[in-house]
Amino acid sequence: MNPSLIIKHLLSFIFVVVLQITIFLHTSIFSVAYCYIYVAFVVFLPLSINRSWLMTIAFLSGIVIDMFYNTLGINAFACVTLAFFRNKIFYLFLGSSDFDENSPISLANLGIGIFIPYVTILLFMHHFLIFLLVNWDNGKYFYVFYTSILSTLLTLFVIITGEYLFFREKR
Amino acid sequence: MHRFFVLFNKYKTLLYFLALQSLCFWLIIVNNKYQNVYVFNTSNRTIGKVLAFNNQVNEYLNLRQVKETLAAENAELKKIILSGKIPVDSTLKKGTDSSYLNRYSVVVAKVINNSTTESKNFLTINKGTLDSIYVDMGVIGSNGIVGKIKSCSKHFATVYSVLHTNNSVSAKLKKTNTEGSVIWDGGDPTIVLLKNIPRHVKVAVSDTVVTSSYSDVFPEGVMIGKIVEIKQKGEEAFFRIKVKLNTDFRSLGYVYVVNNKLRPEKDSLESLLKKEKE
Repeated sequence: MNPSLIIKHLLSFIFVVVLQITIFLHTSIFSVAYCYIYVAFVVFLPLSINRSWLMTIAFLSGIVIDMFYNTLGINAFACVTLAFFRNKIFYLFLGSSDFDENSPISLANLGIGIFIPYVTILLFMHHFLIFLLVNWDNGKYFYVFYTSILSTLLTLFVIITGEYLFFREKR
Repeated sequence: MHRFFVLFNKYKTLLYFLALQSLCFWLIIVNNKYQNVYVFNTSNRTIGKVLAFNNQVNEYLNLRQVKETLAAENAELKKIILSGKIPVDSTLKKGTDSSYLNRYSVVVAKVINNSTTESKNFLTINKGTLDSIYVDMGVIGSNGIVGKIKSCSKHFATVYSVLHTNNSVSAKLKKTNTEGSVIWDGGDPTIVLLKNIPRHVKVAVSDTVVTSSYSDVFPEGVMIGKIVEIKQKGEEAFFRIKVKLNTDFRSLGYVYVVNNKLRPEKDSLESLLKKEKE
């Protein structure tokens, strides 16, 4: 990966973290849907990146977010899990179609049919783990289940809105 | 040995994954178990500064409400001064030790981060050990209890909100002095549960619930809230009581950190007892 690309990813990392802690930190819809937009950074990193590196990056971004939520380890755990399964899930949905490993993962590059299931599964995995780990000692498992579904939909909505607003012209 | 390396190479990503996961688990456990891990949470100086900046931008939104609560509190204090009555512990008589009378000191702090929507809510305040704030001190607002200090750095501190499902506050009914405990079960941030009130006690809707004298964290008689619902189920020995919090956690501006100066003395006395038991 060349330096300019690294700087670009670093900037987008800072962007999602700032977005998360300024707008979405304690914002929720009726206390059931939360938006973890920062995950988009790990979801959209190019496929060519080494998996160990991806997990390291995911771990660090999770820890940074955890510090703001006072939930040390929980976001990091969910992010590392997401990073580990990311490529496998991507190829599962890509099927037999062709995709250049170095090009960025985006709605414009993939098309709605592959992009949405790929992002949804990863987001659900991440959100479910977070709510499960936060609530594991109070036994509200039904709450965990529907909160993670609604939050996945909310984050997905924000991601798709962002994709349409900022990355559309690249098609 | 060669085969070992081949095997290692094959599974090294998996091993790295498992190592990272164990590290995360360890962090989760440490964070829940030990009170004063402040490096990786919102009492960290850098994080605190970011949140303080964030708060500067957002605080204008609820300025009106903050102003109203402060004005109401001022009015209440003025009333006490004018009527010449200073509220004292009812058990006190003339000639009591002055250190007992002055056992609470209070520090004002500003809330710079606050959540009410999660099941484990924390607050961050802009005072820390430099203002002699330490772990386990009580935090109250102008309308009632707020929480307990979890950890502190030099300039910031994190607070377990009453709206934290693992936090319980020892409470009593103001009318009958019956001891119970107040906990939050998640969900509605304005309602908490009052537990351990036996069925023979007379309770009524809109009775006041205050902190009890058993609490090491809060002074006695700090407002918690008013009863809104009383239920009895089957043969249960205790009532199921819902209390509406007097503090509105969604618009907290300034809070007071209360230091019980006699607490170390009490603790050391009680630890002697514990040692004897063992």
